[in-house]
Amino acid sequence: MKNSKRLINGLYILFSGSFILASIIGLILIIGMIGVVFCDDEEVHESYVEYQKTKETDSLTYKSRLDVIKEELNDISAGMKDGYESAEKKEQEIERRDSMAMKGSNYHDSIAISKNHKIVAREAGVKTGREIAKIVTNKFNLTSSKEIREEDSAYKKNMNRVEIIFIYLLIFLGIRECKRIFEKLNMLVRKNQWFCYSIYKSLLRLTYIGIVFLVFKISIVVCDMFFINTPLEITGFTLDFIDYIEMIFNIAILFIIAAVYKVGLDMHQEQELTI
Amino acid sequence: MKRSNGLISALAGLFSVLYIMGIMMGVVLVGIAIARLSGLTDVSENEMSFNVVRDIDEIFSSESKHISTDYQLSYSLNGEVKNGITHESAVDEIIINDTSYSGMILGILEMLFAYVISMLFIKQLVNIFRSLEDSIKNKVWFSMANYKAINRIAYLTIGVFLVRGIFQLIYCFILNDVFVNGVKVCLLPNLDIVETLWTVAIIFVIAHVYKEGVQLREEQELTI
Repeated sequence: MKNSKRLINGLYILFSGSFILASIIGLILIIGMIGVVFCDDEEVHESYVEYQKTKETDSLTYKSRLDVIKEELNDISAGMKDGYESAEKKEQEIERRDSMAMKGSNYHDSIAISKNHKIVAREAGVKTGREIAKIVTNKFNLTSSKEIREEDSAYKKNMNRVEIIFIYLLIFLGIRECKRIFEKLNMLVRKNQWFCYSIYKSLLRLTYIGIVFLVFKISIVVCDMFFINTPLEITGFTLDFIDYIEMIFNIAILFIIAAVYKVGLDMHQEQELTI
Repeated sequence: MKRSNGLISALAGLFSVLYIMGIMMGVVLVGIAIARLSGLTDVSENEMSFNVVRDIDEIFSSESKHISTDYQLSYSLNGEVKNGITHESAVDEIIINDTSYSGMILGILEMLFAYVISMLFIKQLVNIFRSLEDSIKNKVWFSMANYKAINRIAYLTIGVFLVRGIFQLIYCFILNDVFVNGVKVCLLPNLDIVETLWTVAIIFVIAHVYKEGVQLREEQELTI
């Protein structure tokens, strides 16, 4: 019992600290946004210029990276050209040998040998082509996954701001509910009581916040898939899918905890009435 | 309560299926472990994530930060020097993909420990949700067995923390002379595992509130 009291007290302090921290972060976020939108202060201007400079260096390195990729692609295409030329030479050689063989042997056998040679040559060509295609695709995938980020698009910029604000709000509300739960529990424990209607309400609110968080996350991914036409986002969605399932599990379990707590609360109220 | 009845049944079913799947997976895992130890399959990569004690800007500075996300890595294990690549996954985190035999044994041990703990964890969840499913019929929502199961879940979560922590400490101890981009770094266990302790505290509180519910029910039964 004493241990639980200490634990609840500790968690209350922890969540209170988190709440204060979240409030400060929120304040900084709001001031930052006001500063960017309305303020013509020199410092803001300077930081903006600095930001632009880093962006320029970023884009320069990005360009150099693109140049490297272009060079690599040129090498690949040169290699492909050489490959095709040597393949052509080989095919010509095979044809020459076949014609020589045709002169000296049975006509039908020679046709069969020639066909077989051509099939083997074609298969080898297809295999090489596939391998080259694979390398080129990998190169392009690498480029799209690591470099081509649509940071400059207006949609992504606005969406990022909305995402930051909304996720911050949800986290803030979540921490506030946790703080309320442990604050109330801390008070109740002193009176040797454990069940209270406001805790049940907070638990329910926490569940709803979780649902909103999940829906928002999924809708962001879906919006990205529609507005930014990249197959990468689909891959991102499938990769994060386990996280979403885990989140659904957590929400369901939280909902059941709230329901069981409600039963306890009813029992507590009944007991009070009986007494 | 009616709203959550369906949810409880669904979760009970889901955890039961997970438990059965887990048992089947266990057989496969043991098979893989035996095959690897007996040398029937290749030595697999054992991925480890660490925090590094070093000024991170020193390692990840220069233009390479913008051009590539892979960094040259070298370390020695049992006196054998190995080279590899690490990825910049977080500001102060590096990932080592080790393919040595001793690393593989540690990886298998960690995997088996994690498997046993997660199976016990799922078993407790199955017990709790089956008991809650029964409660829909007999209206007894608070039972001592469930309280014990919730407590066991808390202890198992501590177990997860300890296993991960101990294995990371062992890795930190056996991996020597770790260099990232030519800069020597000191490895620390990944501090993400500390998050687990929060969860443990919350589970203990839930268990205690549940216990109070059990006591209330017992008192109510005595009153009637």
